[in-house]
Amino acid sequence: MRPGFHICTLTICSLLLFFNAVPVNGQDTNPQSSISFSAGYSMPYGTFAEKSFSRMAGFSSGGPVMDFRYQHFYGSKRIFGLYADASFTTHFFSERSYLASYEEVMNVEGAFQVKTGNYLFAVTRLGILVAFPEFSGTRIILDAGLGGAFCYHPKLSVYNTYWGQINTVSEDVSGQLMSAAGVTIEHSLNRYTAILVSWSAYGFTPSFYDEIGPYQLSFDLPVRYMNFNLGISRYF
Amino acid sequence: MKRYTIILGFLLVACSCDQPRTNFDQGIVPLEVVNFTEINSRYDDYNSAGPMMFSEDHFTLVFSSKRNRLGADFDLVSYHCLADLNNETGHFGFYTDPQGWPLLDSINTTANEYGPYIAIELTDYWLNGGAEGEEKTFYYASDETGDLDILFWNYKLENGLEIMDSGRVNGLNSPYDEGYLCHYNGASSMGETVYFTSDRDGDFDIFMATGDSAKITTSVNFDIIKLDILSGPFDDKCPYIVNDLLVFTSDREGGYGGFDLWYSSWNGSAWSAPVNFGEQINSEYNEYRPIIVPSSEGPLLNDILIFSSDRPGGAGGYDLYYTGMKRPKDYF
Repeated sequence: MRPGFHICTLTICSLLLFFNAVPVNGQDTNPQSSISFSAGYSMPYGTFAEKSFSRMAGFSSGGPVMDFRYQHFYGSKRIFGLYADASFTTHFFSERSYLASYEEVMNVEGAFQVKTGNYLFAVTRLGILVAFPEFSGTRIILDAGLGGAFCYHPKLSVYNTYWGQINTVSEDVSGQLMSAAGVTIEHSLNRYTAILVSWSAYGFTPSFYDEIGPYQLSFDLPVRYMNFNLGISRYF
Repeated sequence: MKRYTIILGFLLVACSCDQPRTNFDQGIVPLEVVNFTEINSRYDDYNSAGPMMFSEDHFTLVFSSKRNRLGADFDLVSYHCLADLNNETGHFGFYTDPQGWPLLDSINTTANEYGPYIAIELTDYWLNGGAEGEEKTFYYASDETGDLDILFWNYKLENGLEIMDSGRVNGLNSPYDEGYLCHYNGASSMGETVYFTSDRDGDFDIFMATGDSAKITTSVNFDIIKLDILSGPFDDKCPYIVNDLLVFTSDREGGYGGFDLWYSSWNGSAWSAPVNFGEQINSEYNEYRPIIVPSSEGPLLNDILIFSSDRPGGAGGYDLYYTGMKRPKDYF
């Protein structure tokens, strides 16, 4: 049996046990705190999603995201609260669109070759929560927060069989302050466990340094994306 | 306090200008013919001359135009051309600005001035690496005496324009028409060698001349050879040479109508048979006086070809056009 299977099985069993375990205290009042895990699809928007040589185009075609959150509500009605959140997102660089843009602009002999990787974003944030009163075991929670983003820009290389090297951009990492807002719909399965659907929007503009480009300039990349997640919450 | 607020506001605005990621390491001049609308007038504009090196993003273009005296005669005019390179979108264009050049005020007359050529004195250039204050020569042709002759002005740019001397290149001129001089030393190991056009043999042909002194302008006797491979029984005119590539105009057979642009390459010992630039550049109308702005070692990926044409769709009469050239090795 593969070692990876053991690790995967153990992780799933641990999560199931955790989310199904019933705490021995706090039975009389609604639990105030929760942790949640969700995963889904991260969709770019704005210039980050542009796939032609327009200004500040990001050529992102989105990608998977996973998110961990801790949240705590104040008061018995659990309307206001605070949260801490960490999410990890990969955005695929659309090589096909990038290549098509060159073909459209240059209209010349030769074939283009694009070599690149993917964008990576690790985001942590703190913020406030406002929840609507629960009905039929479901409640809507609004959040807004500020935090920091750790951003990775892949190495980018474009070669034309006729003209030679057309473009080179080095890989780089950048830290950046960011803001985000979102909506979560939670449906309680029992007193302590809920499933969730969430939407959140992120915006930040990291600066990267192009070390291998001819001008060795820094450039800015306005990153805007929305996460659509499904997950599970555990209150305690 | 108010002053600091203004400065802070200015800094915030300045810092908010995002720098985009480049998609092109170098600019690329499109391979299609573009009307040089930024400098053309409703009068005839043709016979341009550009820089021998284009290492920055701007250059001076001198050309003949009838605009000065509203169509009466050709004068030389000068424009400062700034390449509009967008390394994000790949867009290429020009910003231009008329450039008052005192030298041209001295040159222009009520006769026609044609075929300008800006030459750096090769000896000075090789010794000083093109240092400021070097002596330069400006060549052109004028029909002031009835037929077209080649003239020159030696000048130096140091604390303003200092004209050293001027006159006719007597050893090259004849009772016939001569013009369109350009430098090229690839075919000669001694002294300055120039190429020019003359109809001294009946129709316009391309000639090569080497003087008996270090400089063409001080030479008395010339060794003048007609380049048979470039000269046929038709009119072959306006030679212009950059990086071992000679471009010229000719109404010889095998073209697309009127005068067409042709090229020939120097292989180290001889010029190749002329090749037509093809229908991508030539048309059924006249294409005239091609020049190469060598930029592939600088901000652009390819060189620029500038020429004039009376094809329809321009500003009026002859207009200047530009197009991107292919890779240098495609011409050899």
